[in-house]
Amino acid sequence: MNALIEEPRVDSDRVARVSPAFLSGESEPAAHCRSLATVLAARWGMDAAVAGLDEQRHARSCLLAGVDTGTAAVGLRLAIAFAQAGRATTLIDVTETGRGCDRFVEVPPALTSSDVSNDGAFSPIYATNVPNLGLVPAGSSEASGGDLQLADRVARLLQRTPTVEQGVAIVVAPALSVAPSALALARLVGGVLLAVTPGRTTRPDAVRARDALYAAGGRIWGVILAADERGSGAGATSER
Amino acid sequence: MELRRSLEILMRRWWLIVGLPLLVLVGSLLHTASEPYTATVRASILIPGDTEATGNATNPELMVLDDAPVLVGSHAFAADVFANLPASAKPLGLDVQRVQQALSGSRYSRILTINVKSADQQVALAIAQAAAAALPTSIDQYMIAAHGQPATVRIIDPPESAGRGGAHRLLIVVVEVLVALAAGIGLAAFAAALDERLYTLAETETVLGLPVLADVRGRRFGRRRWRLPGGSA
Repeated sequence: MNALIEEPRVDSDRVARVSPAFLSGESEPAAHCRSLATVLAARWGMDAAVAGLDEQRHARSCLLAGVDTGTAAVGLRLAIAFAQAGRATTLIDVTETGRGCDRFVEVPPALTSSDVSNDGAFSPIYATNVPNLGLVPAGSSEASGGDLQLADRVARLLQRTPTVEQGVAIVVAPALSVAPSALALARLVGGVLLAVTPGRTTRPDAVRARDALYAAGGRIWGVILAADERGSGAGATSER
Repeated sequence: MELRRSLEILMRRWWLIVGLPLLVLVGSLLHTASEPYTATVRASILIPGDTEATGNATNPELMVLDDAPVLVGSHAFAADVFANLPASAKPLGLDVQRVQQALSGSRYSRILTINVKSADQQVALAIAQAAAAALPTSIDQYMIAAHGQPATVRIIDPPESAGRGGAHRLLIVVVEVLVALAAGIGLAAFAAALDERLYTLAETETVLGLPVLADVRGRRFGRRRWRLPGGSA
């Protein structure tokens, strides 16, 4: 299972099931994420029109990095929004053991940690019950031995995300305050969304995270105000 | 705009601004409720031979009046007061000792003020009325020399009711609550000055110099707002 996969592979026999709560488009966060997806699509469209975009970056990808909270819930909602809009979407979960989304995705027994690569090989892309949405539990940087390996693995994952027209990739990173190694991913993606939790995130932490992302070569598109995901099990604590 | 922003910052700790005055109000009301009833008698007392020479050792009339509050608190005066209690006060179960405990006095110039305190409103009023009745005789008996010219004692404020907390209690409570409100606002402002957390969209944009693209927290966290990459909403 951990063998190098040269082509994108969707394991349709083992479908990860997204919680029904996330599938309902009626909720306010879902509506917000649909609007955010529109914003990102517009941004990608603008970037595509500008020549000279760094070729090392995956053009239609986005890194969700929280200053001090996880971004799994937001990332999943955003990925669902893209998928439901008809885009081939890959959600790359690089939180601890790649299971930041576990609270929201019912993972079949076959999808265990043995499926998660931590040796530089690629994780497979698993199908979900959301059409057009694939999930990649890609593991944490610490588990795979450091920044370069994580960055290398994610870079290769991004290369293998569906290349069909309008295919997009959403990378869910752990909180930067507990996993600064996720900074290495910033230079790989088209842009970064910095997640701030109002009422929790402090000014110095937010500024530090912003500066670190810039220093890491990230292109920060903007900020999203996200709920604290620590309580949901997908936040900084669980991603530690 | 600045005022509105300041109010928003303060209202993040509304519980402090509201809670502190509320706490003081409740405490003040409880304190008032536990206070005894007080009835007051005021009398002017003229001792024969008063020369207006205050402190004159050869004419110590006003100095003699310094003894009046002591007399009011004495067992002898309590006995006189007890003897003057109306028949209607008998069922209240009073004795001389209880009467003595209820009585206290103070003097300013020639005015003697007698305060009667009791947990029972009727008792306070009955003792005060008896004290007003007993005072002239007691002054003559205990502060004037035998066979001397009697003092002139006039009741200028007879006891009419017994109340709690004094006449300005309401004003005091209001002032206490207002001071607590000011303290609450001050504490909230101080806490806000020490608080480094980000709270609002505008604050986040200002601090980070980045646009807030979305608020994905849900309805209970406030208004959502979208901004396209080009800057238009």
